[in-house]
Amino acid sequence: MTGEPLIVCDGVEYGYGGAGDLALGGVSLRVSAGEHVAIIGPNGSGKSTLARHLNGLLRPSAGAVRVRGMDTRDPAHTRSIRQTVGMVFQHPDSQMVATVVEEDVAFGPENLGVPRPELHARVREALEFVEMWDYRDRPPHLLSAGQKQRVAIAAVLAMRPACIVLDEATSLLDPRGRADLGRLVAGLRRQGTAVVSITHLMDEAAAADRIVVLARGTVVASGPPRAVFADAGRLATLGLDLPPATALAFRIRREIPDFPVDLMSVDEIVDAVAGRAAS
Amino acid sequence: MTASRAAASAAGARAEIGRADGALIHVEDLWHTYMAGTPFAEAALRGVTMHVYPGEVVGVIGHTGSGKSTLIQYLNGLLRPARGRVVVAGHEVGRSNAGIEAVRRLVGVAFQDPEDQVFEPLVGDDVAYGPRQLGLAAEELRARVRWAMEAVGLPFDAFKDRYTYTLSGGELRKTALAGVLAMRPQVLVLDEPTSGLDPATRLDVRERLLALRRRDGLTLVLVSHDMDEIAGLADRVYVLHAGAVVASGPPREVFARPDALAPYGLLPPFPTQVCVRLRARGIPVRGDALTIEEAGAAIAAALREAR
Repeated sequence: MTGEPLIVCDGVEYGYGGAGDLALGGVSLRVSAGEHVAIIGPNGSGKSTLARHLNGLLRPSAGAVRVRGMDTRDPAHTRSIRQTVGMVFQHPDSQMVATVVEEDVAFGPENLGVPRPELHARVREALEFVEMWDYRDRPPHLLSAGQKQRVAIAAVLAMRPACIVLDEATSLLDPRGRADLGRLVAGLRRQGTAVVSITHLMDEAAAADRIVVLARGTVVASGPPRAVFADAGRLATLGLDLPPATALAFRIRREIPDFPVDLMSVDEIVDAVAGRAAS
Repeated sequence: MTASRAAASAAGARAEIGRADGALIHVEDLWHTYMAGTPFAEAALRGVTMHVYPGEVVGVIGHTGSGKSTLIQYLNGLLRPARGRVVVAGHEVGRSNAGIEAVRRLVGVAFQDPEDQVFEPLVGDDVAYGPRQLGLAAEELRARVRWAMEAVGLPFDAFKDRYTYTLSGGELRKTALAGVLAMRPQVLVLDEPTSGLDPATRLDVRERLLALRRRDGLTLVLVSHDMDEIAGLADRVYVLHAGAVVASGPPREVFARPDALAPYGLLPPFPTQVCVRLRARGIPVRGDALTIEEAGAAIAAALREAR
């Protein structure tokens, strides 16, 4: 496994049965250690199906997924694959297993047989990382959706994974919850944890190192966010948005032909406009 | 909240009570405490006053924990006021059950999570579930289900026999919405109607909601933290913070006011943010642009002017 990326998807195919199209029709994808990859695509493009392949929740009907060289089709690897790649889903409620926050986070590592003192240290570290340590005695159902998602992330972090997959984990959160999670993701990358985020929010995808665009179960574009968003026409035909800053830049360019469009934030657009107004 | 702001808000609330004639929904000085009498007791609503007039689209914005979700449970009598008043089309929502059936029929609530609301195996049965309880004749029932499904963009013949577990997230959301619409409410309350949907589906749902209002005179109460969505849909907004209304008015006014959102950690729509920042840098653009189109036109004009 030397030199191989953390996760390798090789021509992954998957169908949910029945006569319909394949949900995934030959997807190849690599995720390196510490990398942040965003996967975008319209509803029904196969994003969540792909996400569930990354830690063996689903197994390809053709092609292969390898996590640190371990083939997800081999049941002998399931346990260590799930330890390596953790998943956080859209619905926080479906991920809570215990009646108290602290126990919920301890559930995973406890099942791994992590001894008591270390278990406590891991739980504390994970809850402090997501800034939920003060809520450790609370019943999860009394938390807000954003707080629940942070606990769900802590529960995954307590497993010390090399990669966290966020499957639309922010889509039910408010802007503050999203911003909190965005900061968490940045923190994870600083500590070397890879992040794969599946999202409908283009400004969230803009924060990734790389964007993979999925449509009808295949990869139709892949590259750094600025390059992917520069092809606005293609995204529009897929029913996808631009980040608002990029959309505004394209609108300005309609009247100011040399206005740059590779802009992705309020700061960038304000600087670009102010710079031009001054010159 | 500072004392002066609280006083201003209270004064605003009093003024609003005074001019609430003709409102379909009156919420007056409503208070709510969760888990009262336990160590977890938390005041979720602190004297909320709001009104919804027939045919308008009212936006309710605020962070998680601001009281939005608690408030909407009062609008159709899922919660009953212990302190304050809720009156829906003349029916007082109170301790007694008098009028509560009428209130639930008048006000339909579509909650955020469609998985909590869709429970029948087949789409058509799920949409029919509510109106069936009303004891309608088979033809009337079928007509209502067909109308509701078509209104949300689920063609009746193609979808009535589809298994709900095969639906995409967007279709599931539309099924839940159709189930509420099939009750023919006068007011539709939507909690985050488009969160989690892809951009194209989001746009589709928004346009269908506006069509329902235009064609069928439906009154909409939209709870959302998507400011761009509220900016595009709402006639008036209420900003909720820590269980109190801290600002209200037309979105263009509220979003351009520096004191209406920022102190509560809320951000205006993206185009407004850009224009406000540009004005602070001395670039003459309008400060109340709500859409990409408005902001783009203003910025392009300012840039041409500068040359």
